[in-house]
Order: sequence, then C-alpha cells, then structure tokens
Amino acid sequence: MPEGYDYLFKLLLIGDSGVGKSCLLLRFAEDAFTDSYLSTIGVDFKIRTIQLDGKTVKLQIWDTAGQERFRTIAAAYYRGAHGIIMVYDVTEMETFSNVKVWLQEIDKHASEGVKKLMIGNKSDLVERKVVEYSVAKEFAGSLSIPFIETSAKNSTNVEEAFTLMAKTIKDDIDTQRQDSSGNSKSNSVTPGRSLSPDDESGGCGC
Amino acid sequence: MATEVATKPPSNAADSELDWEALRARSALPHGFGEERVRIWPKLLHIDGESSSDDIVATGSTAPHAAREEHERADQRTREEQPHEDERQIGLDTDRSFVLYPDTARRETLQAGLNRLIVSVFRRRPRLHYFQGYHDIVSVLFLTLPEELHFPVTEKVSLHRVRDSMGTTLEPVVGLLRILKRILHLADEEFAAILEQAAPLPYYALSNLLTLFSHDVPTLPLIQHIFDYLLSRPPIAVVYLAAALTLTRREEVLVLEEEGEEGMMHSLLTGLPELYEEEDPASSGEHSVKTEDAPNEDSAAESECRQQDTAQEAETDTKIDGGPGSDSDSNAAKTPDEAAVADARPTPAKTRADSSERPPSSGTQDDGVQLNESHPRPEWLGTRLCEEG
Repeated sequence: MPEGYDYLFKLLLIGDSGVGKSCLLLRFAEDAFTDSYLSTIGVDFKIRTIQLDGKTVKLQIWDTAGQERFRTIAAAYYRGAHGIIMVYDVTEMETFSNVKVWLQEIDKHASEGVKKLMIGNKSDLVERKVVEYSVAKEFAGSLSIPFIETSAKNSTNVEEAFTLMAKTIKDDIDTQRQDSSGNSKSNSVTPGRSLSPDDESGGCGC
Repeated sequence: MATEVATKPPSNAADSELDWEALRARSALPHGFGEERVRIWPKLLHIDGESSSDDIVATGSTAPHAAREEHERADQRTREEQPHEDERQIGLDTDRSFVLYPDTARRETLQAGLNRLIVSVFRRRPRLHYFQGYHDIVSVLFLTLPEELHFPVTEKVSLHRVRDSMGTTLEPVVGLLRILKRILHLADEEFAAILEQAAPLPYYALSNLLTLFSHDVPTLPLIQHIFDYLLSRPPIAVVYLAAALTLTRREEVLVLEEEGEEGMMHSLLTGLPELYEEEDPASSGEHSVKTEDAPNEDSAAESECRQQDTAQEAETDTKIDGGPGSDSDSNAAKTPDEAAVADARPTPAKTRADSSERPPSSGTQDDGVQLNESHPRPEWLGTRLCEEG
C-alpha cells in the first residue's frame, strides 16, 4: 500500500443484522467472498486505497454489528465519519423499512454534512427479491441520497458503490475548498470524540 | 457478605468437592483441564448432575407443595411454547455458527442443534436478552459437553457468568470496558494513553469481553482452555485476561502509532495475538495469518504478563456501572486476586492447538498463578501487571 495519499476518508457501514455489511467490506477490501461469514461483534475495520480522478484516496472503513443493542457502541463511530453507508437486504423487506431508523441514528450521532449512501445488497438473489429497485430508488431520491444495488457474492457494483461514496465526499470537499480557499481538512475520525485538530496527515495533501 | 463467603466456603456438597486453588492452578497449565473439563465445568457452575437449577429446587420441595409445583410446571411449559422476541436474531447468528470449527460435513445439523438449545434457554428465561456473540459462547459448551449437560450448563453460564451482557442494553458491558481502561492505566500509563488517543474506550476488546473470547479464539481446544481458566475464576477475570493480552501488543501498537494508523490499531487489537499451548512448539511450519504483524517473539514472550491483581478503582467502577456483578455464586465470587495469563504470546506462527491432550508437565510451573484464597480482601488491590522482561 502506498504511503502517500491525497485524501483520507473514513466510512461507516450500518444496517440490520445479516444484510451483508461485512461481506460487502470483505469483497471491497480483499476481493473475497464467503457464504459462511462470522457475525460482527462490536466494530470491525478494514482499509483500501483507490484512485479517483487521478488522486489517491485512502478509505478507512468501519463495519458495525447490526443488532440493535450494539447501536450505542456503534454511535461512538458516527461522529467524524465522512461517509455513512446504509445497507439493506433486497430479499428482506424489514431491513429496507429499517433504513428509516438508521437514518435517525445518523441524524442523532453523525457530524453535520456527513455524506450518505444507500445500498440494497444481495441483488444476485433475483428470485427472492422483494424490495423493488424503483421503490428504493424513489425513497432514496426523495431524501437526495445516492442509491445502488450490489451483490457482494458476485461482485456486482461493489467497487462502484464505494467509489460513488468516495466521489461524493471528495466532490464536496473540493467544492468547499474552492469556496474557502482550501482550508477544509479531512479530519481524523476518533470514536466518541471530536475531530482532532492536529491530524494534518489526514488532510488533503495539497 | 463477601468476607464471610471468602473465609468460610459454603457446605454445599458440590462445592466441598472442589479445590478451587488447585483447579485455578491447573487451568493455567498447558491444556488446562483436558478431557476432565466435561466433569469439572458443571461443578464450577454448581450444577448437580443432570438436573437443571429449577429441577433441583423442585426435588427439594416437600409433598404439600406438589400441587403448586405442578401448577408452576404447567406455567413454565406454556411459557416455553412462547417464542422469545430475539429468536429471529438467534437464527441469523446460529446460521453463521461453526465457521472456524469443527471441520465437519454436519455443520447444518450442528447449527440446528445449537439453535434449539439457545431458543430453549431463552424461552425458559424470557427476561434475558440475546446478544450477538452469545451463540459463540454456547457453541463451545455445545461442542464440549454431552447433550444432557447442554441446557443446564448454558442456563447457568447465562445467568451467572454473562448476565451483564443480557439485560436490555449493553451499558454494563461498557462498564467492563471502563474497568479494562483503568486496569491498563494502572499497568502501563504511557501505553494506555496511546490507546486512549486512538479511542476513548477499548472497544477493540468488546468481543473478547462479551463472548468470553469465544468469538475470537480460532480453535476449540484453545477456547476450551480459556474457559477452564475463566470458569474457575470470578466473572471479572475476563477483563484481566483482556488487559493482559492487550499489554502483550505494546510494541506492535507503538509502531502503528508512529505511522498514524489508529484504525489499524483497532484492527490489530481486535485480533488476538497468536495463541498456543505452552508445550506445543509454536512454529510448526504453519504461517501466521498476519505475518506482517509478527512482533519480536522473544521480547513479546518475555513481557508476557503473568499475574495481576485488581484495583480498587476497578471495584468502584463495578458498582457504579452495574458492571460485573453477575456472579451470585458464592465460591466463584471469592478472591479474584489473581489472573495469570497462560499461553498467550504473539508469535509468527499460526495458532496451534493440538487436540491430542498431553499431561501437564511440571516444567511449566512458571505460569505464576498466585492463588491466595486465604486473603479475603475485597479491594484486591495493587495492580502488578507484570513485565518480566
């Protein structure tokens, strides 16, 4: 992994238990998939660096347990995240309905201006699909949240989803920088505390 | 109460057979209780033969109560037919169980059995709340013990060992994290400060504490050994074990700190160091899952923490946080003044645990388990988290 990077973004994966958050992360970070994946207890973490518009972007991705009782713990990781990815399972209507609840969690715990993305995972299970693309798309559109369907199993759109998230954040930062002559640093995400002001290394390297 | 208990063990028949000191010492030797754990675990949990706790109460009753008992049993049967609200989540997790072991084609059969067992415990104890990771604990019990012991042992472990994690929220477990943080402070202030800079609480240890390490330890013999260690000690011992393991990662964490990789710090600490039985040659040709993290074996082994005491602050925290107060069992709550960490060392080799049990050798007695049942100091003061190097 290259030492240098132009941007450092911290992402958080949330969503109901069993929707495939860890599998998405495994696919994205290690290009692997397993049908027998362990439940996530608490919080996991992986890293991947990508190229975006000719810039090197390092993504630090935090993966959280889906069970409701872990929400208080996961909440410590919301603040300071640049992007939060809400995942549901296209074969489980309830996990889609609960996206509303996860949005409330974001409102409660995340920094203002955090970028969001909604993912409908398990798109390979076509016959069992119950959440229609159009319905989800409309819902996301009404909230101005980008939406994409993925399959961690066969890799469909996984790369695209994370890239989309990264690009949304990057564009926002670039716009801000233009507005305020480049003083918007990418900050450190430290669970439960405010953005640390001395984290220069995480800033945009220009 | 605690003092009385500590000075005079209860005359309960099951307890009188137990030599806690000897068992604690043995639990820290290579391979722990070995195959005898099938007999020893139920005793440590005060389970009388095949009966579950409720049955024991029932048989101890006198005849005039028979009608009421029958009534209560009928009530219980009705209750056990009522689904528990967490059954969906239980299913999601038992479907993801037995991933690391055993290596078997019967995985689905085992999963179904595990699911039945967990559901039966929750229907019997409807006020308990399931947490993700509970299924990992029960997997170990399920694979270790004969079927007739599955229910009573799981029920006892739930009520007496992990109850703090089974309330309506995880707040008590956050209390345990605070205790861990304080222990680390007392043991190594500089290191603790670095860890706190990365995260205000040691969240990386959450799964260790919640699942008694069963989520994190990759082989059955090793987690069985850790259960030997924990079940023969008060419930708080798991926090000390987590602290000791954290302290073995000092050098690795310092490297990441220099590199400014606080996320990787979490990653590193979430994974356990390589574990192996002391008698087993660690490097038997298998490669580490994370070779790039391999620390300096010698220094890490030298600094392995052998023994700690507890801190008064931790005790205070326990009360404030409603933390590890779950042990209502007398003996186990006695003197948690030791917690030796056996067999935890970072090495470049993959975790090694032969299921072929070997007798403990006397040559490994340096696992300084200081058992001192005789001093009933409730404060179990003076953290001496050691660094032998």
